[in-house]
Order: sequence, then structure tokens, then C-alpha cells
Amino acid sequence: MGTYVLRRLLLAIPTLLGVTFLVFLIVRALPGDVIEIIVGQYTPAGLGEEAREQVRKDLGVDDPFLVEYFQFLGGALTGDLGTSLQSRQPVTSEIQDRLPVTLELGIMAMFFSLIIALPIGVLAAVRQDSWADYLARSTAIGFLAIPSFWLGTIVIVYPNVWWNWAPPIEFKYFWEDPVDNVYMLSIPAAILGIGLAGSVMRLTRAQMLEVLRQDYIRTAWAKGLQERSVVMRHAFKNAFIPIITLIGLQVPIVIGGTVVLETIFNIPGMGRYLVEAILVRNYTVVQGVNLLIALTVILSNLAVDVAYVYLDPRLRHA
Amino acid sequence: MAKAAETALVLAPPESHRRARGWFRGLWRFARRKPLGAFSAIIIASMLLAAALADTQVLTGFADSQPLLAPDHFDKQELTATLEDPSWEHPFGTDQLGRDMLSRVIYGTRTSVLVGLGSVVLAAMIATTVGVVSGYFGRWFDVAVQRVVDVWISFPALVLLLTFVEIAKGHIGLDPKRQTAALTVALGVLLAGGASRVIRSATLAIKNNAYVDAAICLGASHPRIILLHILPNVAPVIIVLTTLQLGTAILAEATVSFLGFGVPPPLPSWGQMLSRDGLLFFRVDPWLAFFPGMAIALAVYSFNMLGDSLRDVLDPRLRGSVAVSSGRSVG
Amino acid sequence: MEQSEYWSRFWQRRLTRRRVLTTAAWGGAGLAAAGFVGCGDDDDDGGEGTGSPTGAASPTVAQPFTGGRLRLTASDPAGNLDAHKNITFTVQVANGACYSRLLRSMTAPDDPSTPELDLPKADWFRPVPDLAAEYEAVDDESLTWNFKLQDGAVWHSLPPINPLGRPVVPDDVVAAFEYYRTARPDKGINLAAIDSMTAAGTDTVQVKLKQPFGPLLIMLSSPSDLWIYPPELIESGEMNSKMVGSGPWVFKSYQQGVSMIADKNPNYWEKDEQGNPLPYLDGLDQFYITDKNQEISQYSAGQLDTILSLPAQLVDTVMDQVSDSILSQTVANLLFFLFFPPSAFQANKPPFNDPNVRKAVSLAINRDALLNLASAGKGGVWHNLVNGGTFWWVDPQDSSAFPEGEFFEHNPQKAKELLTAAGFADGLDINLHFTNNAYVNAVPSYNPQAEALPQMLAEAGINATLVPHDYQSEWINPQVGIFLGGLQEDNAIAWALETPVPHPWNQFVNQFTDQPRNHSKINDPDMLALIGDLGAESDFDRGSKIALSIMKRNAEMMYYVPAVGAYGFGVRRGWFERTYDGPTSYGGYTEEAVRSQIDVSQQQG
Repeated sequence: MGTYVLRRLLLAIPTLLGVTFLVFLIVRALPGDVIEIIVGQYTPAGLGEEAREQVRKDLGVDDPFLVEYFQFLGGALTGDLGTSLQSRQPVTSEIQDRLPVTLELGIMAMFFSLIIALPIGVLAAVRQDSWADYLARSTAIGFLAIPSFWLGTIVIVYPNVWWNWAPPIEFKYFWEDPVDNVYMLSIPAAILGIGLAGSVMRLTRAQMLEVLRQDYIRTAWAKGLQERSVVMRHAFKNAFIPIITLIGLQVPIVIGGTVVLETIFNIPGMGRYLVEAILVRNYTVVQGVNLLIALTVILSNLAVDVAYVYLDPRLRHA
Repeated sequence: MAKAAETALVLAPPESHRRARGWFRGLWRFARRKPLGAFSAIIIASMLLAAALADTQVLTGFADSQPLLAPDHFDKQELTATLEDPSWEHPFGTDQLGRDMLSRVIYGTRTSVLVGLGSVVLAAMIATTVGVVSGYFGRWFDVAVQRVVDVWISFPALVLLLTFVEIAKGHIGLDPKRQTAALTVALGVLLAGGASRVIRSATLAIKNNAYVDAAICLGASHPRIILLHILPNVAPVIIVLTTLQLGTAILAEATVSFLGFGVPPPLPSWGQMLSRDGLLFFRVDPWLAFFPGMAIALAVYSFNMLGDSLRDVLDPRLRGSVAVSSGRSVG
Repeated sequence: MEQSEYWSRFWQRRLTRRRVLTTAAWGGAGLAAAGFVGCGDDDDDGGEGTGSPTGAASPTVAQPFTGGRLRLTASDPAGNLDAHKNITFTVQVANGACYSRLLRSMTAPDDPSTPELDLPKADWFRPVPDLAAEYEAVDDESLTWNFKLQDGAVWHSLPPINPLGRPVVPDDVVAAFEYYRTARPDKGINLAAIDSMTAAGTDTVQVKLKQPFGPLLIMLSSPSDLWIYPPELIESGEMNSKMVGSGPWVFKSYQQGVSMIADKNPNYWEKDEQGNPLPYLDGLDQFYITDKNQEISQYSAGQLDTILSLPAQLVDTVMDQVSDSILSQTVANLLFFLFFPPSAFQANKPPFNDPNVRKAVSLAINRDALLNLASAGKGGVWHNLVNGGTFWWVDPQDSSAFPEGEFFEHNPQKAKELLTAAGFADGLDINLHFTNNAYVNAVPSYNPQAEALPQMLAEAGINATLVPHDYQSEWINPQVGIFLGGLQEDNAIAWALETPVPHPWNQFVNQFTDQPRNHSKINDPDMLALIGDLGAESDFDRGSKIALSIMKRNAEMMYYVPAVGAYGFGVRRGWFERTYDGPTSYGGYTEEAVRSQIDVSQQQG
């Protein structure tokens, strides 16, 4: 197992380098007149060449290509992601409060998706092709099909019209007020979780069907064990392991989903910050946020892979 | 209709290929075994029909564009009849500019189908090339290609999509048609990353079969083996994957519109209708969001259900692997 | 103390009966009474409603509500708190809380029983003291002005002010003016008539003008111009991340995308008529909520005290749901208009070089339909070149005052005739440029109106294709944007709106002189002469006549095609009964919120 983890870690290095390179390319892919646009937008007009120089320096596009890349890489390694074109603050300091919020929202959303999807998936598999199976799958895929911003708006409007309810207005960080924080995040997390549940349910059902056909399940039935025991202790425990992989693969999806829900629910996370930055062409922020999100995804996938090996005894002892 | 015929072609058992009656039998069997899948296929067929025949453009070879299935042109305004509830005259009501919402939803199908189909076909082409080649040749080539794919799928699709669309804008300007095209291409490229993984695993599984070894021993060239032995066997995976990803693509278009980066007016798109006036006037006129919202939900539901059913029918062994990369990957 | 004739004319016709009544009803707690202290002799000529407004009201003293925090939403200044480096209303609104200007605009207590603005039109944008307690011209040509600062005006006790809480001195104002002139992209063009600003003694700032400048006082009260920033903060380089000023509220925190929180300034110089310290409220909580549904839900749940901008279509449903809501209507001072390509005026390129073609565009527009679209039948005005929410506006529908209004009527037939006469009998193919989704939250009617225009133009034979643009990079970008840089095609028009400026002169300068906001790069010597006259004019009525000539000239040449202005709406909860309103809200935290009161015993949330 140790060698596997080591190999997995080594493989992550080229990925990390690739991610930094792709992010680095974002600014270079901008059309040539972007300097003019940014000068017009962010610096007093009439400064001419001096202002252009500053913008080129901010974007890191004033040196030969490779030199620029290594400067960018060096900056990224030391936590220096440049200066926000708009607020002139370091990008890192603007991100550091927002990243935990998005992560928290994402983790809560995954939690919700699991508590919805696992029971439905197991039920659908055990009662394959029954009306319960159809209903469960239809519901799960139906939730997946509803745009989250529509569902979000429904949640904001109807409970308000009926009971004058609204979520808390002021965002509190977890370390400021854990109760308020969890209360406020749980609503968008549930909406996001409902959307994610479709895929998890589907995989749970498929894995359960696979496992239920195995010989050892037949043996368990033959021993005269109760259905609950067969399904939960024998089948589900084995079916659950591959589901962990899916959770890892859903990390980018979850982060994508937070972009929308942070906007509707006024949550100061990375997603909303990125949308605002793209809208005003704040490219240093776009670069920094993209890099951090990709890093988050890579690290969580690494963690999931390691956990997978640890949880599966066949792999652990291999 | 074309879509249903295609489905039948895939589903029908090989011996009945030559007989048209066999198609119908295959369809009927599919419908009986997978009622939800059949229901979804009907919805998808109507959607394709609506997209093609919203007006007479397709029938007349783009010479003329009189509304056909849609009661009115999508931009015909009646400023004295704004924000109306559904009625006989306007079954889906009217929007803020007094435009018939039924017509706009029907025309909006066109945007969804163009963006959805376009991006998914592009994704399938890229993913197949990358997945098959990488899986087939294996070794260091595979390792290298898979590291690129790692990078590819490390970015949340929505995040990268917004970034792409904004960068593209600077290059191609704001012409609505070109922007729609850029969105389609960006979405296609993004969807291809995850899909290529699935196709690669399928390729790996097939490569280890004896008949591939036999072909190699007989001295068949690599292109020949890929085209004759690998691709036909990977095809079911691609079809299932494509169907599932269509739902994703339609949701993505809607989400991007909600965030203000989507298809610009006056072109109608479901996402744009749902997200702008639809949400702003939700308290006074929930119908405004209801119909485009339902259109999106129904389309995404149908593509997912059909994809699931196709997978069960085509190859039950694929269940696990395809589920992983399908579903909601944007928003 | 000598008062310029400009303002004495203003004074004479301002106090309507209704205003006296509302003032009385408010028990004299009302009106920016302190504003009149420095104006001395302006009321000595008797007539209807004379006496200072405070005096006119017989004060039945009502105890003011004190305490409570005002919770509201606003547009996020997006990481910028320096209104000179970023000339946009979002920063100006935020600055209004913590900074002072030399003067501010007049406001009046709002009568909760009627939605209309209670400040009489003649008082709109009337400057009253802010940091400058008294001001006067000290020479006969009104070229030298003295501004005496408020006694007891001190900077907030926050770093980098050194020493903490020190008084505001004339040199601070001079430094702030210097910063205004150097930091701004427009180099402070609106106050270009000021030759110098110097300290004259320990409490007075002396302003010397290059030439007579009638709009001086209003321009000094404009939230778009001179904010008094402390020199320590300017030098510290922290202007973007915090606000340390001398205004009614002390900056506590700003978090982009979340909130701006400010507490009341315990050392604020202003007192009410009973000598109670102002502001009455304990603080301001400004949340940056971008989703309208979310904002309404927060309001109905009692977690927001007010919604400043509510789309007309939603007014009834919100009033129904939240039954203690008080409705207020704002004046229509956003100027919606169409403009033409510079090539028409600079290079005489057809089709828009011909005034008849430009008039045809105006005749094709159905202004009533546009108004209905924006206001959901709740009304508004037809703009002239001067917007309907500013003094000197003349109603284009009033044919006796403005016969040129015939070109504002909806008359597609006549538009066609004009086009035919201009040689476009077969109609005209053009692009209609606009900025897509830029104002979805602040001005929700902009986009639908843009989408409604092509169908109207088509009736007159003008075939317009909508071309959407990105706001930041392609619209207001002074280097390459359409709004500030001009249309690059000949066959094109653009749909735009101008945010309000307090003085029509300011707008004319923007639109017709060598400025980025001269959207069509118009160069009309006759127009420039009129604008020059207006800038030098210090008499209100004579100014009004010159402004009318400018509007007539515009209508004859149809340089800009003014559209319509729907009334805006806002609501507030019953416990937020006592507030002030005026025609502008950009500096509202100083002007309105400083005297706003909340009944804390009723407040929810």
C-alpha cells in the first residue's frame, strides 16, 4: 500500500504542473487588445505607456514566455498569486476567507447527496424493476434535471410568501457563529445535494445490483439470513467502496454548483468571487481562483484514491 | 424521428437488420422492457421535431422563416399584453414584452438542441480519439496522455466554461451566432475530458480479448484493428455516454445563461428565459419561469433516462463505469 | 452676509403650502434646518411662505426615535472605496456614509401617506451646508468664494488620522481638492472653472474661479465630484480598503460581496433643532444582495428595513405581502436616450448626418409604450435633453412651452416621410447597440426597452438588428467602449442611459464639449456658445431660459434622442417611518440617513 500511495503522489506532480501551466495560459490566451481594455478600465486615462506597463506587470506578461511561467510558478509556490486588478489587494488575501466557505458548502452538499441517494439507490436495487424502483429513479433523476437556480428561487420565494421566512441575512463564518453558519449554508447545500444525488443514486443502484448477483450473497441468502442483514451487512458494505470514487469525481461538479448557489444565497465563497471577477475582467483573480480550485480538486482526488485503497482490503494488502 | 430510427438501429438484433419490420419489433421490445426509456425517447423525438419545425426555415432550405409549429415568431411583441397568465390565446402566457411564451419555448428548443447536440458530438469525437488511442497503445504513451486528461478534468467544468466563454468573447466579438458557436465548442471540449476516461477503460477491456490478439498475430495494422475491432465494440459506450451528456450540456447552457454569459437576446434560449425575467418576476408571474424551467427539466430527465435504459439494454456491464462520468457535471 | 442672486431667486419660490404642512406635522424635526444657518439674509424679501423653513413650522416638538440600525441593500463597490479612481455610483453611495462634501443637496422629511417626493421641485438639488457651514462670494463678480468650515468638524478616530480625531482644517480640504484634480481620469473637469483653492485663516477655504461659474455650489454638492478625503489616508495608499472621513458614520468593515458596516459618528458636528446630536441611528448595515427575490424575502422577514429600488411590476405584490410597507416614488432622473455615430457629425457620413433621419428615429419610438413597459402602468415622464427628474426639465408633451415636442410624438408615418425626403424611401438597415444585462439589478427596464426598440423602428422602415455588448470592456471603457468611445459604424445607433448629475449644465458639458461622454462627438458652435453662457449664468430663471434654448436646439437637430423615464419605487417598513428624501440618492447616507429614525420598539429581525 505504501508504494501505491507513493506512486499516486508522484503522479500528482505532473498534474499539478499541468494545471499551473493551463492557468498560466488563460491570461496569454486573451486577445491582444486586452491591455488597452484593462488600461481603460482600471487606470486613470492619459497615463499612456506608464499605465500599460503597470498592467503588463500585473498580468505578468512583460517577459519572455518561459521566464514568465517560472515567475508564475514561483509565485504560486510561495502563495503569491499577484494583485487584484480591481482592488489592488493581494489575490491570496482575498481568497483566504472565501475558500473555506466554498469547501464547507461543498462538503455539506455531498453529505446531503449521500443521505438522499444511498437509501434510494439500495431500495431501487433490491426492488429492481418494481414501481418503487421506477419511482425512486425517476425522482432522483428528476431532481438532477431541475436547474439549481430555479430550485433556489423557489426555496427563496415560497416559504417567504407562506410564512414570511428568509434565511439569515448576514453571513457568519464558522469560527464566528457555528450555528448560524451551518443554518445558512445548509439550505444551498441541500439544493446542491439534491442535484448531486441523482448520480450517486444511480451508481449505488448499479453497484448493489452487481454485488447482489455475487456468490457470497447467494450463500448469505442460503444461510437463511434476514433480508436486512444480507442487504446492509453483506451487500451494501461492498458496494459502497466504489461509490467513494464517485464522491472524488464529484468534487469539481460540487464546486461548479456552488458558483450558482453562492450567487443566489449571497454566500461569500470562491464561486461568486470568480463570476464577479470574470464579469469585470479582473484576470489576475480569475487566474488565482482557477488555480486554487484545480488544486482543491487534485488534492481531494488524491485523498479519495488513498482512502479507497485503505478501505478495500484486497487493495490494502496488494 | 431520425433519433428514434437511430435508436432502433442500435437496439435491433443483428439478424433483423435488413427488415424494416425488425426495427419496429426492436422498438416495441425496448418500450416494453424500458417504459421510462421509451417515454423519454418520445419526449426527445418531440423536442427534435420542435427544434426543426419551429418555423419553416429547415423545410425551405433557410429561404423563408414563417412560424410553423410555434404560433408566433419568437420576437413578436405586443406591449399591451405583457406578463399575462396562460390563456387559450397564449397557452404559456406572455413575457415582459408581451411575447408569446409558447413560441419562445418552442424556438428555444433550437438553441438547446444546437448547443447540446453540437457540443456532445464534438465531445464524443475528441473523447473517442483520445480514449481509444491512449487505451490501445498503452505504456508510456497512455501514461503521458492520462496526465493531460488529469489536468483536463481537474477544473470544474462550469468554472472553466465561464473563463473560456469570456476569453472567446474578446476574440470573436459579440455576434450572437458566433457566441453560441463558441459556447458549443467550449462545452464540447470540456465534456470530452471525463468521457475519454470511460472510453479508455472500455478500450482496455476490449484490447485484452483474444480476437484482438489474433488480429495482431495476423499482421493487421493498428488503424485496421482500431477501426474494425475496437471501435465497433466501444460504440455502445459512446452512444450511452453521448445520450447522458446531452442532459449535462443542456443544463450547462441554462446555468451559463443564468450567470449572464449565455446566448444574447433576442435569440431565445430556455436558460435565458428562465433566468432573467423568469426569476425577476417570479413572485408575480411564476408561469414565466415554469415553462422554460419544465422544458429544461424534462429534456435533461429524458436524456438521462434514455441513456440509462440504453445502457441496460446495450451492455449491462457498463453500468458502473458510465454512471461515474454522467449526470450533472455542470451546475 | 451676501447671498448670490442665483440662490435668492431660488429661495423666493420654494416654500409651498404643502411643505409647510409636512414640516409642521413633523414637529420641526424636519428639514435640513442647519443648512440655512449660513445662508443669512436670503429670506428677507417676504412673500408667500417666507421665513426660514424651520421658522415657518410651528414646532410641536416630537421626541425623535433614537438608536437602531438601518439595514438595507446597495450595489457593491466591488473592492473600491475611492470615488475618484473609480467614478461610479456604487463607490459614491458607499462614500456618502463616511465622508463629507463641502455642500450637500437638500432633502425633506418624507410624508409616509403619499409615495411622491415631498421636496418641492424648486428645491431639487439645492445645495445646503455640509462640511462648509457658511459660504459666500466675497467679490462683486462672484469670482472669489469663502467657505467657512463647521465648528467641531473632526476626522473619525481611526488610523491613519494623526493625531486621532483631529479637527478638519482648511488645508485638508485643499489637499482633497488637489487629489480630486490629479487622481481622476477626467482630471476634475466638472470643477475646471476653479483656478485655486487655498486656506484663508484657520477655518476658511478660499476658492478662486477662472471665470464666472453659476453651477459652482451645486457642483460642490455633487456626490460625483469633490469628496473631502483626509491627507493621511490619501498618502497611506489605503483609500481602496477603508474609509476614514468626517461624515456622519464611522467605517467599521467592508467585505466585497458581503456588506459594509458603519456605526454612528459620536462626534458628528450636526445637531437637530432641539440640539439632539445627529445621526439618530446607531449605525448602517449595508448588505450586497444581488438577487431581487432574496432581497424581497429578507425585507418581508423583517431583516431589511427598506428596499431602495423595486421594479414597478413587483410593487403591488410586495405591498400586499408586507402590509405595513410604506411606498415611496423616486423621480425619473436617469436619462435614457439614443445616440448616433461620430462619423455622422465629424465626417458628414450618411445616413445619420441628416437631421431628418435622426428625427425619423425619434418619431418611430413609441414613448408611451416604452414608459408602460418600464413602469407597468405606474407612470413616468417623457425626457427632454434635460431629464425629467431635474430642475429646468421642460415637458416635450407641453406643446406651448416646447413646440419642438412634435418630433417626440409617435408618428411612424411622418418618420417614413422624413426618411423618403432624405433619400431612404426603401428604408434603412442599421445595427442597434446596447449593453447586455449591465443594469439588470439597478435599472431592470433597460434591457427590455432595448429589445422593444427594433419592432418600433421597423414600423417606420428602419430595420434594426440588436447588437449586445459587455458593459465593462465594450461599453464604458474610455479607450475602446461604445458609450465613451463612440460607435465605429455609420449605420448604427446605440441605446444608453446617463446616470444623473445634479446640474443640467454638467450634463450639457458632458454631451457637447470635447469629452468622453460626448457620445457622438458632436461639435456644434451654436450649442457650445449656449453652454458657455449657461456656465457663466448665476441667475436661476435666466439659466432656465438658456437651458430651454439648448433643449430646443437639440430637438431641432436631434443630436440625442431622449426617451422616457419611469418613476422608480422603493418600500420601507412601518417602523422606518421617519426618513428624508430628495431627488438623488447617491449621497443619501449623508443627506437622508443622518436624520432618519427607526422605531426600535417595532423593528423586527
